[in-house]
Amino acid sequence: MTPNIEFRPDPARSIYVQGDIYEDLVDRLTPQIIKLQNQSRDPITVYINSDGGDPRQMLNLLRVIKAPNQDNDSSCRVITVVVTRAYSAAADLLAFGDYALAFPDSRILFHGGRFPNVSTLTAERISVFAQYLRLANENSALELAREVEIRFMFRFIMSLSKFEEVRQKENKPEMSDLDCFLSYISQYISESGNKILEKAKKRYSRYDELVDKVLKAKGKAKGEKSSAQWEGIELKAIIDFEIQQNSNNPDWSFRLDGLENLTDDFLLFRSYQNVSQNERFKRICSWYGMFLVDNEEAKEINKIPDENERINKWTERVNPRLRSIWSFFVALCYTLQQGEDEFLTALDAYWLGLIDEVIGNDSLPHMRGIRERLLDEKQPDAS
Amino acid sequence: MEKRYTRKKEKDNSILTSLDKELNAALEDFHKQHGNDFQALVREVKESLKKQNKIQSHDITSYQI
Repeated sequence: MTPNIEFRPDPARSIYVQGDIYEDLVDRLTPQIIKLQNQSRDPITVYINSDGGDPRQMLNLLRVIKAPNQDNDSSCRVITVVVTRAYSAAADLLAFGDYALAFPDSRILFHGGRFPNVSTLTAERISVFAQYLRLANENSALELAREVEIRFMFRFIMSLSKFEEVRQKENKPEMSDLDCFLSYISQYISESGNKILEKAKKRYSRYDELVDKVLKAKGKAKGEKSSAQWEGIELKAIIDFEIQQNSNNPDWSFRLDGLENLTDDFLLFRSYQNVSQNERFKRICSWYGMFLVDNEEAKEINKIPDENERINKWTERVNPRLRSIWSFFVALCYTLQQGEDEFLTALDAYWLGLIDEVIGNDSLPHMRGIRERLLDEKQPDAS
Repeated sequence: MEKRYTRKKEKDNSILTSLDKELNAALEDFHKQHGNDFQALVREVKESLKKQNKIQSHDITSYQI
């Protein structure tokens, strides 16, 4: 395979994120980054050995690397590599790379945000902090989803050919694609990774029922409504959902636990609305639709000359099959950004779609292989 | 002297970047040849590494895809 620089770490064009990610690290790396950007617009590699730090500074670092130049050239592509550890904000940095790799013995940890060194906690402060953290974690989950969506769906697509085998092995011919996928990857994932999958499954199941209930309520509503009125309808449906979910618990009330759940469920539904109706989902459908239909149909759709029309056609065709996978994927991102300390191996991160490649493991398909293979075919003498 | 309104270049509304398009083309090409048999990709990568005498002798756990 002819190496393609878009997918290969390059120590000659790299920076090292070592230690905590705070303002001083970003300040220290900025001159080096600017120099690399001015030398060329080739990818910049970010080697990571970090326990994390301030998520805002992590994003600042990425912004500096992807900054434009005066000629409006494309941003430098970011290739991230975890060498030994990428925890917390450093794990986000790893996943946010345009192409993300891990050395085989590295460890990765995603978790929710926290406030360091809060020495005095009053009831009011706790409430403010809780609300802030909830919104920050929701934001982080959506950012993570945006960055890894293509990878995760690629994992699903590359596992498709194994689903019939899973159905036969479990003797469940009606098993859904999602259940087949989760059953298949769970055999390659560590105990920690499987704990995360279980939590994500619970969240997804709740998601499914909740979304169904709210969409039914919205479907019955008639006439023009303002955003706030629609939100009111959603909240009323969620209240009914909560009461129904807790009908067997005589001690449950909105005052004690329910209000917090109500807020979480409302934000959960909002996140579903955000991701399910946007251009990014269409992009997924257009990329992977061909693997979900027969060859003749794929050829016909790909003949559509107008790009946007073609993308819309793919979305219409494969939406039903990808929707549940997508919803689970969002639940997984939430689980990762809200969870506590479950350390992932490089293989966990690969199978969960958080990274593209485990360095040195040639048994795991990756986009680099696909791309370099095509390059070889176009330039056979180069290989 | 001329005073003429010049239309600005139409914004590219495509949701696919140029690298997306290249990758999409690579995926399409792969799909044409191998469908969704991604183990074929694994085999091709291993063949390529063998040609370059780069297959390691130590054990790397294989995953059947």
